[in-house]
Amino acid sequence: MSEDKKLEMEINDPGQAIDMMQETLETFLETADVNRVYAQPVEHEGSLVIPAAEVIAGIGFGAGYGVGGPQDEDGGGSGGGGGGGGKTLARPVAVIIADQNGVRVEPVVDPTKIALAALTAFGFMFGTLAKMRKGS
Amino acid sequence: MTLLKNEKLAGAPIQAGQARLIPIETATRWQPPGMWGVLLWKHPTAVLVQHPNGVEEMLPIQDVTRQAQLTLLGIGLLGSILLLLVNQMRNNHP
Repeated sequence: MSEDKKLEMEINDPGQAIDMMQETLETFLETADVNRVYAQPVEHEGSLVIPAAEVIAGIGFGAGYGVGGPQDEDGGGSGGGGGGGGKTLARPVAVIIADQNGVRVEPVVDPTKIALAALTAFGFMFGTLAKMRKGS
Repeated sequence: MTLLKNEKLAGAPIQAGQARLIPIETATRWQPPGMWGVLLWKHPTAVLVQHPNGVEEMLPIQDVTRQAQLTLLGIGLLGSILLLLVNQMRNNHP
């Protein structure tokens, strides 16, 4: 699950760009609140299920403004611009289940991610072993 | 402006039958000074269960996938170091 957001703007006043960036940054921080980690509870067959996820979000901006000196008789020019981008990643971690038996936390296991980590780890070890045998 | 901020946040209480659940998360915010950007990492930490008789119970939330990934990568790294050490010892004492 991921969201991409891109923002591009053309500006003539650097103050305008800074205001816009500050505003977007604040909106972004407000959006990534606690409701992103714990989703809305869902009722299923007499049980209340609350999904919990890990959220990683990043956003960045940049802006520039320049005034050129007189290049010809008509005078110099000025201009500015800015841009930014952001990404949000979410991964399910656990599910909280509340039923007649009480409240319990069930972890969400991602076998693909674990298998990839295992392949990387053992691949690294076999690579080291192969290098050692080649060297000796 | 703080470079790295780590805080624990509690969400709105959820009524589940007689019990009241308070979700707790950890939020880590990295905002480099002088730069227009921020990196946020939020993950669930625990759920506080408030029973009607006044008993409170804290249920920790474990990220099993992350723990398994880190364990396996640690095994890979330590295994490689161990293999290199064994090989070095063999070469030194043939």
